[in-house]
Amino acid sequence: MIPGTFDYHAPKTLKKAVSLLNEHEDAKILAGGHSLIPLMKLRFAAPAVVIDIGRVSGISRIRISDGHIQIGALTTHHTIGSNARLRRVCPVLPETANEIGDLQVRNRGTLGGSVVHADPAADWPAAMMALRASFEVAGPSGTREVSASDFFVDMMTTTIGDGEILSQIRIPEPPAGSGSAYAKMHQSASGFAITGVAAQLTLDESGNVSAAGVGVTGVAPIAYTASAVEDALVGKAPDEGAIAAAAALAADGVQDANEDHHASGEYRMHLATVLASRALASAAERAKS
Amino acid sequence: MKITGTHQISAARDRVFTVLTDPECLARVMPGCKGLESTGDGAYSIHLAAGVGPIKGEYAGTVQLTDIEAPSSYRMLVDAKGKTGFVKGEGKVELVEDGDATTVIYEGDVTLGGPVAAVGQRMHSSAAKLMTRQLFGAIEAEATAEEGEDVKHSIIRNTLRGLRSK
Ligand SMILES: Cc1cc2nc3c(=O)[nH]c(=O)nc-3n(C[C@H](O)[C@H](O)[C@H](O)COP(=O)(O)OP(=O)(O)OC[C@H]3O[C@@H](n4cnc5c(N)ncnc54)[C@H](O)[C@@H]3O)c2cc1C
Repeated sequence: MIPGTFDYHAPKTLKKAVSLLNEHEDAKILAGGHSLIPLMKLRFAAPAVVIDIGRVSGISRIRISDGHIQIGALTTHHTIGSNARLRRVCPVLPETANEIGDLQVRNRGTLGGSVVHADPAADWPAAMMALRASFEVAGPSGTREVSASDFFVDMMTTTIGDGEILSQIRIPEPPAGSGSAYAKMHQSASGFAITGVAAQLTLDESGNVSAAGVGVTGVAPIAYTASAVEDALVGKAPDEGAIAAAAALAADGVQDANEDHHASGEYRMHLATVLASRALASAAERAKS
Repeated sequence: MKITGTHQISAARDRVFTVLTDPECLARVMPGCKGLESTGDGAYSIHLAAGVGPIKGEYAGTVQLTDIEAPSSYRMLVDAKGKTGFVKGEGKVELVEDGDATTVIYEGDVTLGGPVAAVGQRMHSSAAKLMTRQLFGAIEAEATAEEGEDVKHSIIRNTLRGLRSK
């Protein structure tokens, strides 16, 4: 349980961090360290150079302006979970944050670290899909923006290149009449999601769904958008019947669902439908109030 | 852990069989393969860096092919170990002609031991599936490559395509 030797850098700017990352072969970014450090201790990862972005300024803020919620990659789960404005504007974000691990994990772990690590059981990816988030990625030749649906490539694999750093997560500010929620069944030892469903609904003046976003984690190698559920709800009043009918489609099209000694693939797919209906019911409730 | 599945490759059965059993081809298509040498009688010594995303472990050991019925089936025994644990596996691979294409049917049982077994159990089967997808993406590229085509390129392209078309 002792990591191999490595060189350590703690740059203060994003630019410096990117250039250090590109100067060194076999360098790794360290954020909260709650995924990377355990891997290093077990020698599953043995980077020659660790670049700690914990002191980089400008990437740990939450800003809501110009129709966007912008969250710096280094923002901790706890900071998001305890943000009162987010609780009003986009409740699924703090709700997801507060479902992660325990207080220690939430105090250190970051939104950016979680999405880059792309654990198939991580909570954040569900909300990122439901909310149509996009990711700002800084590299040696400038920044690029990637949508959540292009960002996650396969389990523990994203489009982030070896020389790139995730800097900001951007989410369209939910319009008036929106509500969102996260429903999860957690694995009792670690807290990781066996299955988790994030949902956001926007209602028009007559109370019908004008936009729906549903993201599912834990079921497939990467989180996915449950578009069948979304399509089934748009134009309808989100009553019990409509939600039940739509939620039943939450695992549509999933092949080769994740399975392990905690839960079979079939059970995870079933959970997706149950949790989708819970998340949608609370989202609808919040959208109305 | 049981690993079973089928995969269709758009190449003739003889060609697919060669890719699966020729050490040079095999070395090119195995994800993370750092060395593969024939030691005679269907046995190979192998060295690979296997893993998923940031989780990597180096393993060295042997692969033994037995009951070879070219070009339709063989059995495979794998025994490798490294600092992060060991992998032992046994399986059967069948190749069935399917028009111009070939369907590969595989069925095996893999045992992991040491740290790799103790940690991340919840991910073993998904990780195995991911590596299988990568392997078949590369086999497809190798088996369908035109003579003289830069296979390295098409491996990457096909692997990415395979990953995205899930
Ligand atoms: C006991 C325990 C319980 C947990 N329970 C849960 C849970 O219930 N739900 C859940 O979702 N997660 C859970 N986690 C994981 C936790 O949320 C991690 O903190 C998170 O996955 C990674 O964030 P981090 O900031 O710690 O990243 P790190 O460990 O520092 O980094 C993770 C990976 O991302 C890379 N990286 C980090 N930041 C960036 C960046 N900005 N740009 C580019 N690359 C970057 C690193 O190089 C590394 O490969 C748990 C962890 C522990 C230890």
